[in-house]
Amino acid sequence: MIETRGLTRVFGDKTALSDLDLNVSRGEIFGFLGPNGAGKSTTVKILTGLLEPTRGVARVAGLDIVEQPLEVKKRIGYVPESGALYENLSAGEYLELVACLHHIPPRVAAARIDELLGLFQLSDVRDQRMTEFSKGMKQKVVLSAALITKPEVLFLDEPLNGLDANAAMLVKILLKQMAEQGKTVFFSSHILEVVERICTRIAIINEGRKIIEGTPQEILSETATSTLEEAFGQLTGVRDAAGSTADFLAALERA
Amino acid sequence: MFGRLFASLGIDYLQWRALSRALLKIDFRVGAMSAVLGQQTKEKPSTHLLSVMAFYLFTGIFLAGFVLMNDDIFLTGTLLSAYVLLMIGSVVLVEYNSVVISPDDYQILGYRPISSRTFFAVRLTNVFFYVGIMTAAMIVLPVAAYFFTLGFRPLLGLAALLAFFTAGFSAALFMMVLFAAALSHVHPNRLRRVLSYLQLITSFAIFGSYAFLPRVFSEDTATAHLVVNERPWLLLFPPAWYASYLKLAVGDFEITTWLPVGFSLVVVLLLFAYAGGNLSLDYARKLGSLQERTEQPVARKVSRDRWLAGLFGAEEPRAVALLIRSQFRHDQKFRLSVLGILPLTAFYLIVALMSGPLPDPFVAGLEGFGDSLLVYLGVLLFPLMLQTNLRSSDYFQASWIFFSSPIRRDRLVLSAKNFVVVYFLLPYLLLIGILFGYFYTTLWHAVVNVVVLGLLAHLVLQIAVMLSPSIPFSQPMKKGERSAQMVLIMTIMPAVMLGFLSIVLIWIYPSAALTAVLVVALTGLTVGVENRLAARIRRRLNRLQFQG
Repeated sequence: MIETRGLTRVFGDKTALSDLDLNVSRGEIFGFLGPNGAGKSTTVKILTGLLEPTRGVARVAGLDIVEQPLEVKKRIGYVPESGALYENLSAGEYLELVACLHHIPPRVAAARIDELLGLFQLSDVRDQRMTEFSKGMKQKVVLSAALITKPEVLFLDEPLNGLDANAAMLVKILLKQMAEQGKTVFFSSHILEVVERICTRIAIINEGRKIIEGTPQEILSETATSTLEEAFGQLTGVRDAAGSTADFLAALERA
Repeated sequence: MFGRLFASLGIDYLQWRALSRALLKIDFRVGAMSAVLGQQTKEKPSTHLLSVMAFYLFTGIFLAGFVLMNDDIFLTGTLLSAYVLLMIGSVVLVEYNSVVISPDDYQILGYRPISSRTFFAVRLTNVFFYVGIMTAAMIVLPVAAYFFTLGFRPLLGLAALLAFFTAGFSAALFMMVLFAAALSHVHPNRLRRVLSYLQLITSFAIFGSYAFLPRVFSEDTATAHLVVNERPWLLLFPPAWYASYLKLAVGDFEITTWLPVGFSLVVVLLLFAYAGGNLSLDYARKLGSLQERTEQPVARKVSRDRWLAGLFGAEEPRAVALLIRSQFRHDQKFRLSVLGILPLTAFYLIVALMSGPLPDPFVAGLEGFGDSLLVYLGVLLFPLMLQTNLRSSDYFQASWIFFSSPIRRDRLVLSAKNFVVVYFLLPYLLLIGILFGYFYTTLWHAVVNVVVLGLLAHLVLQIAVMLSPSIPFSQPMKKGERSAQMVLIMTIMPAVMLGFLSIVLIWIYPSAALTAVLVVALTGLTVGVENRLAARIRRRLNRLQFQG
């Protein structure tokens, strides 16, 4: 469902992504990890048609993202990291707009909006402008907007940002059920426990390059670690965290 | 039917309708603050937009009178077209990012299945909606006058309607194309600089015209006549193209009438075609990446920071100085708005100097002042204009830092005013002080005049802060806000200022005693207001909350 070959993106003299090869199958929840600035968001933006690659090929749902961007966009759902919304619309109005942009018939859209707002417990505030919403409520609307189109492939960039524990649990269960239905989920996050628990396969990138890919168990055994957090630290160069933080606190005291 | 028509143009009708409605709905809703405070829960049109339209309707009364007084429809049509072109051009210029295109669109819509053509149609609809209602407010009364100016001639009225709307839309399209061309053809590394230059040039052309336009609508033109055959260069003057529509309506079918009409239509089509090819979602992406793009840190940064620290002393003023400087470097909207003001200042100075030596008001009184009054208006108005630009930003949510830090918010507000004084007002006063010193017979006259102007300008800034205090860049950008401010500052304020200056020049300056009283009174007033200002701001700021 998602395939990249030699995917590269260069910004000026900085290479954000270098020769990335990925292959994500139907029904997979694919975890995409990396430290800040590793190239995760750049990858997701390319795969969702927000950025053009400098080199390489990316195919989503069997379609080339550069050659057929609109066809790809019809088949995907996306939860961006920033969660950009037209906040002066109400949740109901925004979801109606998204449904309309995806040519969902009004009656079907209305039913889906009711379901989604009910699922995320936003029914009571559906007519309130989103300027009045908390960060978590806005994130629920962004998630709803990604799901309303019944996408074949779902791209999630930090989807649990701002969600309370109940909503986060709901999303995790939902993603698993969607994967069981044959949907593909591309899950980019910093919350390693969640990734470890729900993702069927994981790739870790650092400085624009993929450094490892496999099931959580494969990664743990290859790095000889017991948790994904340890493996991540070992692979991306964060060692002796306790020592570094102690040095920092000492420096803060001296300053 | 609409669906098929739009489809033949490559536009998705359903998407166009949904997005156009949503964007207009967003524009017409009140700002986030009112919603947060629960003051306004129902939709209502933007007050900024309404105030601008009310002003245009008001000026329309005089323009309609001008049309009725002069029976040369080509002359009145040319002047009114010039007025529409300038006004719409300046609205698009000052509101460019919010009226024409928003980089936020790309973040929200970029991954939706929307074609560039559809997005272009949505944006064009949005722009034409605003241009349409503003043009309508400007011309409704003059157009009504055209129905009757040569007896009852409905065709002439309709031709005027068509001419002025075409002029308005052409001006908007031209401005859009100008910026789209820069974004399409300039390398991203040079884009910020090129856009800045473009803003300087267009500001110079548009705002500078404000200085000329009032002189064109003089008593002489009320009885004057304009004939293309006698002045063939008029064919190169765009307002004359639209005025030719009126000549056609009264049966003048000469080639010199057809030619400009045809030319205006060709230009509109060319602009439309070019804009269609460039004003896409990709354009929004470039605009967005331009805002994200940061410049390389300059080597002098540390020393400049130290200098700022020394100049502004306490934490709050230093924070504001650093914030304004950083906003200028990285916030393209703020940068462009400042760059729109600077050439205007220079222009007023140049126009004043072109009219001859600056007269010494202590010797000449109000006599022979003419254009040199523009120098005085520049001192009083442009710092105010700059200060209003410090209020809002797309990054207003970053102002949470000021609401959560243990600092004095009243000092932040005052510091923004002081920044304008130090960086803009004082250098300008120094410059005109040198010019006054050169032209005046006595150096003391120059010194006193500059002091009086400086105190007045500072008082104007204080009053503006008192009426509407705001932490720098803490307000969200609102459509029509800058146009409303511009209309207020460029039209109503000069009238008030000129009235006051006339009193000073005619009755106070001739008397040394009264002049001394004026200086003492203004000094006392500005010191007194400054002392009261902090308390007043504190009271007002208690009602302000973080809007993010």
